[in-house]
Amino acid sequence: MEVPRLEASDVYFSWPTGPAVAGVSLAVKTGEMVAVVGPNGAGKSTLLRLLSGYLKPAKGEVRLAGKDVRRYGRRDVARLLSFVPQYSEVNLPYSVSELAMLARYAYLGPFRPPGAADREMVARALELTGVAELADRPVSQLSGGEFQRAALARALAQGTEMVFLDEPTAHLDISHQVQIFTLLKRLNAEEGLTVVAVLHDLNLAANFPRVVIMAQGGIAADGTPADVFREERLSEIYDCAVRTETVEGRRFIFPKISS
Amino acid sequence: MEVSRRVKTFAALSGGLIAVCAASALMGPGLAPAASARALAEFFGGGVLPADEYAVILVRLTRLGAAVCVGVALATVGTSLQALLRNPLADPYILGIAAGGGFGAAVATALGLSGGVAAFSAVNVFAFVGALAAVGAGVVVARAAGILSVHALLLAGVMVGAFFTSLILLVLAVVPARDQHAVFLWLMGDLANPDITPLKVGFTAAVVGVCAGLFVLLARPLDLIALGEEGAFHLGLSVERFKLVILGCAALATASAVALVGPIGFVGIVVPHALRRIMGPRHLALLAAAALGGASLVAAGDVLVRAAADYLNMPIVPVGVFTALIGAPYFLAILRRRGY
Repeated sequence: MEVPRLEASDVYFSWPTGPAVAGVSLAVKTGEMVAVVGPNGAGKSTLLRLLSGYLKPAKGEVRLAGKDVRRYGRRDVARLLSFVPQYSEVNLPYSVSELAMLARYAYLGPFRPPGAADREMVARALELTGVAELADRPVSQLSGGEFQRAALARALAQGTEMVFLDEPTAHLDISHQVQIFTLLKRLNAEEGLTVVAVLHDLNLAANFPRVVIMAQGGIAADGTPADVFREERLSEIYDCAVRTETVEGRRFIFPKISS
Repeated sequence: MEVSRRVKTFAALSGGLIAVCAASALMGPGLAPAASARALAEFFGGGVLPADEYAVILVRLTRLGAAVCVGVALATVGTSLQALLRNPLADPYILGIAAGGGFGAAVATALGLSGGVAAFSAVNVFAFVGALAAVGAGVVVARAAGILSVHALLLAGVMVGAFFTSLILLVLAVVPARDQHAVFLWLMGDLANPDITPLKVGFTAAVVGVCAGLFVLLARPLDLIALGEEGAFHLGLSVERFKLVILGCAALATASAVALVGPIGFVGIVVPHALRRIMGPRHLALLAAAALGGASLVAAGDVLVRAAADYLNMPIVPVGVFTALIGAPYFLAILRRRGY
């Protein structure tokens, strides 16, 4: 039996405003592609930060490659997993390639200058995300779509086996949404990159082989899109009448808007 | 092209610093420039100088040393705090250090304390302790469950600063006029203070050197923190430890500088901003340039103050007034050109 690469067991976390994640257990295997969806405030982003080790669970633990993720050295974790936040803030005028080079910190540490291998990783990451021609452009001058691709390039330059994304396609038009998704799918298929993405767009999530639905801090459903995206369940969780259709084998979800 | 611009800037800053240092050492009452040059050669060549010449040279070099130390401290601390707090308004005094130190100095002056610790006077010691107490109070307020919130720290720092400023005013309101003047001079940042001795400058230089060295060693983590604390964490930085080290160094270096000469304004905010435009956002080059620029600016301010006094018969103005007079319009010009 395959051992999960990342495993949360009975994890709890509360913000001062109230509980956010309550008793979540979740296992992710190498090479999986998981979408995490759910209503606002369901605890998706908090769960992602518990899985990445950024937040400390009040109870339970998260194990990465068999070891508590909070017990690793910071740079050791950063060699295993990278994170693309929802709102990447970059408050200094780094160029796209400088930004990606920052991701080599996990390997270089504070002192070692970047070598050929680092430059190669950065060049490849820029190439894959289609921002190579923007390499010298300050990130402050990028459009929303370009910026999100640069953020993804930075995560890829980190050379990790696992990438976490918090709403990577929010604020992107449909063409850029498709670009990002297609790229993730390709990296997953070709390089075995493990992807865990928090998404709002249920129809985008329906393209992921595995979907986890969160509600009120817990996991409400976990399985293939066809399994988890059911009308009654979604209507109840989102407190909104929902219709699903299957077109050419893909699940589509629509809210019913009464006129 | 980018590289050559940086190299040119380094060359210009180094040349500027050397020129300012030369002017500072050669100029002033007691010894004409040509005689000063001979005396300096003897001084550094290990020769024997007449007592009066020795005294003049020692005073000038002490004052120059203090200016350079303080300039390096303020500019590197400002650079680091702007990165750490991710706030362009950050300067070495933003956490209430100047007000805390000022209150300490005011109390020591008002009480007429004559004791001290080792080579340091009561004013030095009280200013140092007051400065550290202000930062400490901010950190205690802003730290909860092992996590230091920089937003809370900024707000706490402003409040602590306001609190200590009120205490300074309270002290000023009750002390005699003679002490009021001493406190005022100190609050403006004064390099002419005879209280500044070579031993104190040496000690301050050691503290500032260690702190500035740590900033340089942490230049790459300072680059990372521009991505936010969460971003830097996921790139492999131990963010909480990093914040405490930077804050600790910033507090120590600033408190030492303030204890020595009082709070000299504007160097810590203007120098990092002006040089970041030229050097780019990476902190290794930026910190090195800021150290040169900060030292040059304070020493140049002091040269101008002294030149005005010596040649134009103007009264001696504390250098802190001068740095703000040059600094503020320059900063406004940068803002205007940048079109925020």
